[in-house]
Amino acid sequence: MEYTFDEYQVVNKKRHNRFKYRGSKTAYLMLLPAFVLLSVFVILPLVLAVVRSFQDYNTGAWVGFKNYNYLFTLDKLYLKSFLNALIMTAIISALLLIFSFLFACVLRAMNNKFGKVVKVLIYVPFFISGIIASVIFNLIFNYGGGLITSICVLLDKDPISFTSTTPLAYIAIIAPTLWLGFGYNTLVMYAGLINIPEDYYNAANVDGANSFQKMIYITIPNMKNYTVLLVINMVTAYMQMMEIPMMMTGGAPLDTTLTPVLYLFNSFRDPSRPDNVTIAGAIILMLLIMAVNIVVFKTLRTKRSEDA
Amino acid sequence: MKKVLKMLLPALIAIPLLASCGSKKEQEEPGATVVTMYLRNFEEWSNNYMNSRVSEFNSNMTDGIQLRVKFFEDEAYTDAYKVAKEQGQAPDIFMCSYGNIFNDLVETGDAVQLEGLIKQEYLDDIKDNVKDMMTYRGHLWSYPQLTEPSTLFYYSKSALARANVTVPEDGKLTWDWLYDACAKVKPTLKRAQYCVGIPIGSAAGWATYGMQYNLTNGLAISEDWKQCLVTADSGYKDLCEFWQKLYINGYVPQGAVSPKGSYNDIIEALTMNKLAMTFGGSWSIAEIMHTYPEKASDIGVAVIPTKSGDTSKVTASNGGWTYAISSQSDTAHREAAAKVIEWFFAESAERTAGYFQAAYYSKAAATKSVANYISEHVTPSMKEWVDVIDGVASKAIPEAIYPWSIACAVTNMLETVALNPEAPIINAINACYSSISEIINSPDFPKKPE
Repeated sequence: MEYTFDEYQVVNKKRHNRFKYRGSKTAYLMLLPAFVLLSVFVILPLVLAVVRSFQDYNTGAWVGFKNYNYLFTLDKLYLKSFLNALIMTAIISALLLIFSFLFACVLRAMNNKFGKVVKVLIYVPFFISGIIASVIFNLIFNYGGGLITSICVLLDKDPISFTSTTPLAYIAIIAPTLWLGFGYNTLVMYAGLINIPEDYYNAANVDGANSFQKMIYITIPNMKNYTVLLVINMVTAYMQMMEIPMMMTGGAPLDTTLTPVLYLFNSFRDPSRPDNVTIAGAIILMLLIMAVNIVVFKTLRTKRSEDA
Repeated sequence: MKKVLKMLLPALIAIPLLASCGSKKEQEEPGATVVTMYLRNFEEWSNNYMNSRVSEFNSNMTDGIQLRVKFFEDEAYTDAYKVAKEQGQAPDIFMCSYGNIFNDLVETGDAVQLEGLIKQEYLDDIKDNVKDMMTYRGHLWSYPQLTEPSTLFYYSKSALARANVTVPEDGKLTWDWLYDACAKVKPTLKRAQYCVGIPIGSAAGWATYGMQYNLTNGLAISEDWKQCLVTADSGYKDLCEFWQKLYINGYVPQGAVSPKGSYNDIIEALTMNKLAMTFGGSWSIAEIMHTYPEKASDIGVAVIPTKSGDTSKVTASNGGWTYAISSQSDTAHREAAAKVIEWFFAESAERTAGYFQAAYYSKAAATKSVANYISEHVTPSMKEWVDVIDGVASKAIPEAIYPWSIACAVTNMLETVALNPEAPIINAINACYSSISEIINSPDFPKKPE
């Protein structure tokens, strides 16, 4: 049978539609377990949580925004905990970015066996949980008999309490957090550094650029995507910090180290707070972190477009 | 590989066999109603005592009831209970502290009222002040085991003797006495040793209810929960000045010095010579007797120092544990659970008093019959602190049941005056007033339970 060009187009389109999804069946089948698992363990609980945040925990009655109002009017601690987390996240992220970048530069220069050993050693704390890190750092900071107190006693000085003033309490939280995150961040930075083509530096050498100029005009611009990745990770992780503040300061002094997740953790066990307030708080936190991530992802996409 | 398997196989079979040889499985009563009970992990002696009583209860093969008990750590308890409740499998019997009866049992509908389930004579046996702490909407929702005054005063006799400090024989300790004692003790201490321990952090919220009441004849808000009272008279200002004076003179440690860093184990700091004196709950006595018996003779117990030294006034709040029957249980399980509670806490004063004996009488009885039994059987060596505890517990107020955020505002006020001594005390009090007023005036603030 012979077709005109237009007829051929129509027949071909029909045939194309008929076979369009035939090859995809296997792919959909393979996706099914992941979809089911995601639905059961992520999407469904999330939907239920959103629904419950608008209900009374005991009766199941709809209460509108009552649970959310509680967080913003009746108990101002939640808002305060956000501010605390933002301050700590900013400090920790900035310090980690600077230190890990500088150490990655050192690692790149250390191209020998010792460099390999150092890479392994700095990565080890990454496998340690926040609780264990807190226990270790409690042995140092514990006012009742930690390492620093023992040194103070040896030097005939008064022990230092890391929970009685805000700057000291921040140190008690920031120190173990830096220790845990330093290895991972450094290795990501290191991976970024070794990916920068040597040709760029050779060309800069020909142009007579000094080390500082090479850092500013070659290294740092080429590390942008890695930095964005690390910032996403750090903001997401540190806005949700709980174990370390709980173990090191318990939110003291005057709730200045109370984080949103620690607030929610305490809230869940506090019978005077409505149970669904905890869920409402968790949803607010999730939305905030999603918003931050969207902003950072947008930035990442823009950069990729520029590269393309 | 086969050789390795041949060697491993007998070992793998032997280990479970050997393990099963060592474990004792309790005999079960055929056809019995199985009652589940969730308990909190407390001190080892307390857990051992409860386990032995459970075995004793289950050894009766004719009562038609078998008791299954699960112990949980403090934080895991709430999680476990909530999960079980969500699944419609709440334990038939579960624990509740006095301060949480309204929120956890009455408001939630989690518990059934005890009238009609527990024999009336056993309900009548509950001390009147204890009954007042647990009666809501005209009903009793759980059965009390004990009461624990949150604040007593402990001191090291040897530390005070070294500083030539004497404790008044009538036991009436005043703040002036405490300042004087601290001033004398401080020069005798080494670095990292302190004069007196006080509740800090969240404990300052609940462990100071007695002190607040002692100074103001009330708490931070009015009886009807409609007005903040921290500026109503000079009581809270006095409390703030007391707190600040202890801090600025360096009489108290700047942070926690006990191993777990909590008020609950503050007595350990005293036994480790980090403190010469300390405020502490009545449970501290059991801790001393079980863990540091060699220190017991050196530790004195008294009513806490107050502004006036009047020991006839309220100096502490009463905490403690009660046992509720789940509303998710069917009639047969409710009745069986009631029998279990009666057996443990009501039927026999001698049996119930066994717990207090194991606790070295560090807790006060919640029922009249047990209190009488204890007063008749207590040994003279323990009478000193039994009298102190009973005296304090009989006058103690219940823990406040208003929202915890109000107690937190008071905690912040005390912490502020302690950590910012350069700022006027009135600023902290006004901030506390504003904070509490804002909470009270919120449209979502609950009504006082009846």
